Amino acid sequence: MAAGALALLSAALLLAVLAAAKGGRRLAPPPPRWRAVADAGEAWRAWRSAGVHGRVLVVFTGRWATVSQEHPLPSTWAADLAGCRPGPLPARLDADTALIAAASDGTARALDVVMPPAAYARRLAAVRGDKALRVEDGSFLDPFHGFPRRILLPGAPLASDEPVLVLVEPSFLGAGVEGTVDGWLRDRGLRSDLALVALDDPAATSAQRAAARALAERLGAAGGPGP
Amino acid sequence: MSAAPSSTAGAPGPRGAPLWGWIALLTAGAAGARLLGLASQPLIDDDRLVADTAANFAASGWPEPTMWNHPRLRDLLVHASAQLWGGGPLALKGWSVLLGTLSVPAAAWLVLAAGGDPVAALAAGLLLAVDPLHLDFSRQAINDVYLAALGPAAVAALWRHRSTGRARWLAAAGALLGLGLASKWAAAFPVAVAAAPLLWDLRHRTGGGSRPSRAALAVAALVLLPAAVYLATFLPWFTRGGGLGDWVRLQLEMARETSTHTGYAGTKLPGYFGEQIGAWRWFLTPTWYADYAVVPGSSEVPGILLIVGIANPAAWLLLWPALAWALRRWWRGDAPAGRLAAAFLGAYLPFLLVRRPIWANSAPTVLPFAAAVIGVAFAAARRRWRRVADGWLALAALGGALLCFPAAGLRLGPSEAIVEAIVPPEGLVPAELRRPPEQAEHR
Repeated sequence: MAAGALALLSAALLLAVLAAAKGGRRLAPPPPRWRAVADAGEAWRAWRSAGVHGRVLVVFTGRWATVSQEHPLPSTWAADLAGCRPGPLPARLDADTALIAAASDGTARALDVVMPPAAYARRLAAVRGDKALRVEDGSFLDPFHGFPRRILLPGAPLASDEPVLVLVEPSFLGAGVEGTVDGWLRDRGLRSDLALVALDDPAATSAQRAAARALAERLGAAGGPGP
Repeated sequence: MSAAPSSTAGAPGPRGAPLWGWIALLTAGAAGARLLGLASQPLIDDDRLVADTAANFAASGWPEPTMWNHPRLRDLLVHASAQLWGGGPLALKGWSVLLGTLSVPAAAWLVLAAGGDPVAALAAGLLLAVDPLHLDFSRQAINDVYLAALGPAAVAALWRHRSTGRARWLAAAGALLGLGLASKWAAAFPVAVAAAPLLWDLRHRTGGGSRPSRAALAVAALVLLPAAVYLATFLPWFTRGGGLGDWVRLQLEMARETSTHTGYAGTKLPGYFGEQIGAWRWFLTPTWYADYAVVPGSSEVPGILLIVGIANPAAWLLLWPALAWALRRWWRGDAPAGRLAAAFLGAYLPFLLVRRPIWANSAPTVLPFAAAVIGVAFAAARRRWRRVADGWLALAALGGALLCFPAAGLRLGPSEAIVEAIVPPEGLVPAELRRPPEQAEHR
């Protein structure tokens, strides 16, 4: 009797957290679409406006965004962002802080970063020695304090059984797959309800920015730099 | 082993309501000491980081900026109290004050549940109530001191179940274990040691009820319930959309970090200069932990408030003789002494054996078990050498009380001189100003 009651109580708690997890994954309203945004900072606003949350985010980029040590983020930033309404970008949110914002406010629950070989090698060299680092064939896992991050080469496999968010930054373009980012996703069976092409990032060359505009046009990416 | 009289046989001391009256008095005293001047004491860095982490975790399941690798009960509690009462010192530290205070009756209950006598229980409670290191961490927002209440209470509830056979005590033990695990994983160790006899009972068909029903109750109370309570404290994390598989991977990452933890990035100097490392020291040398708060002042240069918790040497340094006595008594068949010795070893040995730095903030989690062992040894000694034993207890209580002042950021009489005699000079320098010796020579 007592054992049954305790087991029921335990099961109820388990069901409550699983219900919370299910409710935490929110897709963009249909139809699935490509959109152009000014940069990653504007991408965060697009995600927030679309109401997406708890998602796997696939980023194509040739750089590793870092937060300035001289101007660290506020330590309650996650709470501040979680309470933000759609509108002007919150303070300190820009192309360099958008991904940590998406991770910390729960927009993304996992991050897969596809990088050109040179950028991939630089990133791998930078994190060599991290105790959480696990190197695999064509990719490596480098979780940030338990937040799942996978960095992979364009040729590496990637799978997801749910629609993913996609962000393409111009500094990625030039790796040989830029013309077929959509094909890259399709080849891996990846679906996206909201895929964004950033037209600028701090590491992009003018040629890469032009390539990003061309990619956005080819994909019929609606929108633009945003209001 | 040969049968011997229990350490409680013919024991003097109050019982029933008078005993619990004394325990209530000790608890009230402990609460008063832990609250003294707390509302006006400036926050230390850890307090602020705890407040920010609680806000972030509650808002979006993001366990930053501090202690991401530990369980998250503290975030939920601190966030709730901050929402109710604002972000002041009492709202941030109230749970530590509460659980630090409750660890006093928990330690007394531990002794009684083990079968120890009332004098031993009161001595254990008194030693805990006036321990400066324990008081120090009862006045900080970080949650190590939660285990000083939840761990011994869970063990005591287990022992109550074993002696009474009542299911509710086992359920209480499971709930306390779940809350303890949701504070820090170290809660599991003493409870595991205390739960081992239940397996023996099941195997040897001792105790009442059928074996399957008792096994089902034990699994439900000590596995399912704690696991569910623990899981529930991650509710904000689950709102990020992660499933059970993701959660298990998070736990593995947390375990990897915790088992190899050497301090959070950018917070430690080579060799942990100015910090005390190593659980082996706790009962062999005076143990201390120093913190600093910036005091806003009228001048342009802010003041520094030094907060130094020194474990009461008069009590802590008696642990090994007391443990040796308890183990010897156990060998002779004295079950209460044996139970308390085993629970202490269960709580302490993991810290001693782990191959990574252990700071003194973990020591208060072990202290109730140490105080219980010292308490039963004291009570036994008191039956033979009453004046000597009482004299020692008075000295330990007064010495501990004196050293509670620097642990509260205050100074009284010779407390300053004692601090300077025990804590090396580099430990009394704010962390930001410390330089390892080889760097200092070049400056």
